[in-house]
Amino acid sequence: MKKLGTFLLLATVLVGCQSPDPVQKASPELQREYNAAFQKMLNDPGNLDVVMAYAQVATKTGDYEGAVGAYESVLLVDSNLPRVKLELGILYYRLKSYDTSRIYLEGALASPTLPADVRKPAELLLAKMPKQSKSKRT
Amino acid sequence: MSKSNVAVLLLLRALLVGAAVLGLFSTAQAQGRIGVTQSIQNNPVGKPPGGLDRVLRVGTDVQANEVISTAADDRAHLVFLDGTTLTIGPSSSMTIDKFVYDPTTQKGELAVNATKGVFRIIGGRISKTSTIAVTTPAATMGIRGGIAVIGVQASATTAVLVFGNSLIVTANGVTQTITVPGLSVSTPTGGTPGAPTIAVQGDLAAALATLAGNATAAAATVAAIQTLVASNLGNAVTLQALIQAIIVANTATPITTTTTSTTLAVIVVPENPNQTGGSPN
Repeated sequence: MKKLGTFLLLATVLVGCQSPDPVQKASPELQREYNAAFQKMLNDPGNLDVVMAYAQVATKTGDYEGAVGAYESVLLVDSNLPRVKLELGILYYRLKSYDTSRIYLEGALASPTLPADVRKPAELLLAKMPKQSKSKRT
Repeated sequence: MSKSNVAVLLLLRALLVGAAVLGLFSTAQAQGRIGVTQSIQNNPVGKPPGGLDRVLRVGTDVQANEVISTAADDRAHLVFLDGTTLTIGPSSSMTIDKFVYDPTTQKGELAVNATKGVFRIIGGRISKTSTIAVTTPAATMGIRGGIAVIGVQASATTAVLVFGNSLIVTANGVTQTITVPGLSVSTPTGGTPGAPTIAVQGDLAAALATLAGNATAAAATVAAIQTLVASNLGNAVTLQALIQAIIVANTATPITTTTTSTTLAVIVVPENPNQTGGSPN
């Protein structure tokens, strides 16, 4: 029976260790903040302030995919938001998805309503973008 | 049987009962809300199982086995209870075949069946430990821990791994696996998946643009109002003329409005008397 108990304990630990989920690696306080922001977004999905707040907490927690999903939902409302495109460009860069990052940064720079404080970081990030992926460009 | 053995058996029994309760909870959850419509463009339609067609609005709950379809100018963005998001592009149709999620263990299953259109899936908690299953007329796909864009046409399905651990494409007994972001696999309907190739950036950019909102309509509206304002400085513009200008700007075949109201006329006055028109920007 001792062996069974040890096995169950070991299995629990191993299962806990398997997850690459950054939210589970975050501090309990940050996890609470993240979960609260997510629930708030689920209950008030049309509130852009709530969506943006979740995106920021998700970024802080390391859940870049969660943040990407939130920002993408904002772009569906209005695709001409250079600041949101910059955020997406940064997030995809952090995810090492350089081709997609480049698409969003170039999209931000092409915006007719580009603020100066978006132009500079977008240009800087594009300049240091690794020559990725053997991507074909058309 | 010793006391310690009895204690362990009782513990195991309690765990099994707990697991059964969780199973019931998950099943019940699968029949209720599994996610919510986070943003839309125009009028995407959802048909819950056993229910009638309804236009999805921001905040509309989404259920398992719901069929979601979009017309040429529609888009929908859904967020599921595990944080997975699904963007449905124009002229698309898909069914959420399965969604089971246990928030305690943060594990579950998600399967969708896409019959046409363009989709983006961004994996949430479920995709950290399980594969999200996507079925199309040409192939079945598994997405693990990542972001994928999938285009479904009658003739073929193309899937791009934007980010993540893996994208596995299977058809007619042949499997191709992508583990490098930026690669894509195309599968002709009835055929087998081709070898992974580097996604053409122009194609990916076009697919992402398809999944984003349409700024054209807003721009056309602004341009129409600007033209109307510029050509009527100091004069009265009827509400009918304003509405007509907006409709003409956004409609391929202009519609004649029946709104007539001179009492709701708008007087267009320049801020600067010397101004002769131009952009408000």
